[in-house]
Amino acid sequence: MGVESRDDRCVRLLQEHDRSLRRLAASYERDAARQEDLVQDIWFAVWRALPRFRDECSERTFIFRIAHNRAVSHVDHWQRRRTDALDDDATFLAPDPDPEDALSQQQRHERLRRAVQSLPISMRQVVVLALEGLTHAEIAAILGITDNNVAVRLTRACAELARRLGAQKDPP
Amino acid sequence: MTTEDDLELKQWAADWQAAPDDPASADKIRQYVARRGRLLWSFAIADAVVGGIALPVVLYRAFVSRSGVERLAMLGLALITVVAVMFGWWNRRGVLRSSATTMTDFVAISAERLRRMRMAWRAGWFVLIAQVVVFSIWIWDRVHSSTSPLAPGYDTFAWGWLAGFTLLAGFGMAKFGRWVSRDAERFEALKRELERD
Repeated sequence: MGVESRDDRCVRLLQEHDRSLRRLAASYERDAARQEDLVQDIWFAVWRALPRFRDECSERTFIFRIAHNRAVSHVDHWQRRRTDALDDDATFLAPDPDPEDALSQQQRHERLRRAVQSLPISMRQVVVLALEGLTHAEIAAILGITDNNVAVRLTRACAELARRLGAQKDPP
Repeated sequence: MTTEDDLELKQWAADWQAAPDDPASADKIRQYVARRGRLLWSFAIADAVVGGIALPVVLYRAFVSRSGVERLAMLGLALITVVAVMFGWWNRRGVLRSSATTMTDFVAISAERLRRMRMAWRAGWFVLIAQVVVFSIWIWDRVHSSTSPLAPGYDTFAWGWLAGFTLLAGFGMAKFGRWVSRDAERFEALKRELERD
């Protein structure tokens, strides 16, 4: 098997993680067109960063580091323009009239996505990574914090997420 | 986290990953990456082109001019052009990379980018002042020491042009300064949020 070129490796990595990246983009940006822009920014950032990747971490950790950095930049960028990018925790959710047991998986995903979108950035980061199935150690490596810190943030974030999902479920 | 919390997280993870998707094709990724790569190069080339066009023009004028003052003014402009282009390249060193190893590094890079933008803003004022000084000397020399007759209204046009250029550039610099300050405030807020435990 020959050596994989930078372009081929980039395309392979991005295809493998494209679904995760799209979900991540959706957690940072509500607008569909800007979500696509964010995904594409991440693709380009990965391509640029690939020559410096020395397998010191897993490819998944590498991709998520870049994706999170780009996502935070994206939020920062759109904050300047005062749009509806997901930049604060003030966004609250319209109550969903459907009872939980009647929700399809698609509806549950949509409800969860909106609740995640409404979290403050520091909570959203750990929650999105945990929902993607990353371990505490991987999340710690991506965010540059300790495992303990991840556990603390995740516990708080999950409690807040549960509260917001509850708020969606039970109209005031 | 308790076992109950773990189960809840697992259920959320299953719901989260059940998102409908429309995965990107390899071609789409390749095309986008190539397009952005070309854009990045075009920025670098634009800098070189601006310097590359301005420099021969002012050097040519310096070479052909019989007036010592004009020659000095043109050499001054050439020097300003070279310094401005070189400063631009130097000021971007290390901060154009697309990513960072961790979120902490990312925050550090962003802070460094802001610092460099402030430096560029300050340097911009120096370049503007230097250009105004050089142009003023040049125009004064043309108006007062020219051996050939000048067109009527030449001096008004020349000084008016310099005043207009200075006002426009000063306005642009002031806008850029305000933008950098606002950017710094927003970044500080984001940094506090990211670093919150």
